[in-house]
Amino acid sequence: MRGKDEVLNVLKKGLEFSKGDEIELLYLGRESSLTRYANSYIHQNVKESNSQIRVRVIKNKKIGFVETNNLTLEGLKKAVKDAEEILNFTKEDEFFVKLPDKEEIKEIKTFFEENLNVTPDDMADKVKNVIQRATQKSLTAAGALSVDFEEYAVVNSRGVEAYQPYSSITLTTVIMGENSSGYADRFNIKFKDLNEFELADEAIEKVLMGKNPKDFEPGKYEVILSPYAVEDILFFFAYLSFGAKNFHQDTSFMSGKIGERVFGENITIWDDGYDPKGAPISFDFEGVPKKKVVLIENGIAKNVVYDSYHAFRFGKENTGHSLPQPNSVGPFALNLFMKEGDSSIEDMIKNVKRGVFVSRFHYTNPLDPKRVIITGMTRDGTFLIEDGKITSPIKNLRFTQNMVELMNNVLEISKDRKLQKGDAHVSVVPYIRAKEFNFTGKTEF
Amino acid sequence: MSDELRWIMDEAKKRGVTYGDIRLIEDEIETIDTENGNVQGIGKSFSKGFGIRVLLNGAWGFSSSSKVDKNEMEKVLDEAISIAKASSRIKKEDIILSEIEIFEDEYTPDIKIDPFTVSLDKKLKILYDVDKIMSNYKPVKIRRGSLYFNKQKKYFVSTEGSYIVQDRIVSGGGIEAYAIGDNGEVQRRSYPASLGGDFSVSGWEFIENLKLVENSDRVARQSVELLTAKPCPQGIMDIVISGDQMALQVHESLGHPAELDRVFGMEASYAGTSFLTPEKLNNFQYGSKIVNITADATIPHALGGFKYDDEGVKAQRVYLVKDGTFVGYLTSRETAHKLGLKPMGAMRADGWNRIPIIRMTSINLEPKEETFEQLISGVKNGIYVETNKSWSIDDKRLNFQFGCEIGWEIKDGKLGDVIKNPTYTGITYEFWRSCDGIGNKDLWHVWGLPNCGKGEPPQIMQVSHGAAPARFRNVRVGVVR
Repeated sequence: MRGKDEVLNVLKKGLEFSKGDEIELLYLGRESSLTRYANSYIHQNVKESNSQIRVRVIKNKKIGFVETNNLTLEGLKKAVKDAEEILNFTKEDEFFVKLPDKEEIKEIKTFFEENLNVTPDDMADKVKNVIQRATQKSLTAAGALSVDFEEYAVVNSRGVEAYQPYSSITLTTVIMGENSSGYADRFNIKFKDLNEFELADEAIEKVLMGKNPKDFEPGKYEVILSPYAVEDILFFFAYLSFGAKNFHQDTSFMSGKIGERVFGENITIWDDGYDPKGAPISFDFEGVPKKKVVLIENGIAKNVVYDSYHAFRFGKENTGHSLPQPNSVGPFALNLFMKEGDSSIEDMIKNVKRGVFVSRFHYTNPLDPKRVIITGMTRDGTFLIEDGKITSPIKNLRFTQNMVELMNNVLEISKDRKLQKGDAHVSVVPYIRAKEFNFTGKTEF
Repeated sequence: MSDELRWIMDEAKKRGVTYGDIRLIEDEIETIDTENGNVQGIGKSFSKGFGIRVLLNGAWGFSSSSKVDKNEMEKVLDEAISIAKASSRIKKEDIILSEIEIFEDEYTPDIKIDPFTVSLDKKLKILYDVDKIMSNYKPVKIRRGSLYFNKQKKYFVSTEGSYIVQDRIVSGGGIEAYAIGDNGEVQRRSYPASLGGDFSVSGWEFIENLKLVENSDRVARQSVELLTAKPCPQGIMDIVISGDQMALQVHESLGHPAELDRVFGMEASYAGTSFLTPEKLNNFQYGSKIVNITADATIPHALGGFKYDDEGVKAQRVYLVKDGTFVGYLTSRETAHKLGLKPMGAMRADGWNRIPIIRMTSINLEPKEETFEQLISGVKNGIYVETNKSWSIDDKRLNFQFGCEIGWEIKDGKLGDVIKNPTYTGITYEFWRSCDGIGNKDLWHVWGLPNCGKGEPPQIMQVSHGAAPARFRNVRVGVVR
């Protein structure tokens, strides 16, 4: 960790090297320790430390970009020079207007120094506790514990100056029996808040429930989807639908539908980078403060998220959702929330006459990105529900489901929600009960 | 630099490690992306750093840093040692590495034109020309092109005396057309493959041979044709699959399940395990008798090729499936020892800051004799599909489903109408056992896939697959609703 002063000083030096009209420097620093375990022992244990600066220079609407991890003055000077050389060859981007102006950024505490004192032995102790819990039930444990520190900083020639340090802890586990498995994960900001026993117990419960799964014919069934599965669905909406680039390119299901009902009336989804119930971060990768954006309200399509390029191009407000520039994805909703309902998971199960409980999805992929038709498998605990009770574990199923239709078929939403970390984003998501979920295949376990 | 690297390995020995290695990597990447005639981004990135791996008290420790000097190397070595000590508190047995031949070598691949010496003007002209041709088709609303170049120097030094320096240059590129219909339907065509195109350990000459401009009209036209094409039929039928899609079929249904770390459960908490459990080695009918699949890191220019892996094991060609029988795994020194096998050199890390794990090299469906016409003429009622659109497989690599960009009906041995949104699904070994036709060596091509994901933290690896079109009987074919 370099700290605010050192990082901003390095970036501000970079500003001085530029001969362009505008310049932006984005700093991404990361220190990460990861302890990975499988078959109830640690098989991989690693630490890394890296810092990168991404330089974007603009002259006459031409844009050049260079990334480097050489943070010496010479390295930075070369990066700016190389970015400016690109300007000699590239074309004007007629839609580029300017880099973002300075806006006030509300500070949020997202860094806890106590995590810096976590040692490899502390991490091994947490892992050992998960393994011991599994071993007591004659099960084997796999998973990973990571302790991460990140520093984000942006400066640009229009006065933007933003810095935020970030600490996080992620623990995952798959606990396995002879023919069943269970999954759990936790995402925390403080190491001391991590309850590995509770995590192990959640996974173990699924392994024991899932013993000797029976064959089950695919078809359309009522389902209860756990927060792990719901997070997967929300990721695809964020990736394929909720960003301004897809929206304006007519490749989002929301394209041309603002103000129309697209989901069931019981569905409300928003993005909020400041809400402490999520994993807050106060600004985007252009240094613009994150704004709360209601995407779907009571089933009505309300808004999509914007970065500076798309906001200027389409005359909209910049909502502070830029990924590191340049990128082909466009603006991205990284802090999603799905509104809770008023049901308990127990009551939701009671309300199912015949259906399937899905603990988790696996290897999901879009077949039709615009219509958000996703295929994938279930894993780590799939169960048959009959007459309001889970009656038996079943073998994993393949689904091919239009997720927009799914969001129109939601019958019930849980009151409890879970903070769920994805590969590059976080969501706060409930259980959902939905009708006519389309299982299209099965496997052997 | 070699003195510092040898010095730190001597320090590792003095600190009592059973084994240690250091990889120092310098990377330079250039990416060029265009969209609808505009430059989406021209980027250059530079990265340098080192990672030290130690085996101590029978367990692994690894640490890395971007600060390259002797003091930092010593600090990182000590971190790796303390991490290994923590690992060793929770072990089942001591890790033992298979013996290997030790090499001192420097390697530079055969590159004709260094792509970093080619002007940006020349590179951009190709993508602009592609865009201009595609823009002749009004429904093609999104036109994309991309080029990628990577230059790498990698040092590998171990406590056993390995000293290897390898240079590598990679070139790749591809184009895409998205047609959007009046009803909002979106159809995509890509060339030479989806997922960024095709990639090779080659210079600029590879890009020229891709003939992106020459293929851009067809790609745009087909994307438009798909808007009004018939839907894919549903049912059990015969299917002929193009070489680029076979590359991904091999990747998901044999490449990943043959990774011996996955077989041993080391990926259980992430992408899952494998149905190819050790008792199946030399004892399991994976496919039909005509199916031969090799792991071959020695193929010149293959993206999954190299001279030495990241444990210093020399590149090899081995069979994974021979005459339909499963006969080999992708291995590391650690996993090979557990099964009493000779390591075949599949350990790679995606950068200096990552520990090597077992990765595919070039995993190839070996060619047979049939021409494309013969493959098609052997089908009374079925479909032919090209170019991957989606992929998914269960966490033991049994149930898979693939979607392709385009298909054609096959009626009475002849290609018929274009079909849209083709998908096919099956159980891996049932599918491969139904293979009764594989294209000849003229149809065979080594496809470079630059983005194979595996591990925690995630590592993205460059791999490749030699494949020709192939025919399968009685496959479940479906259609997106």
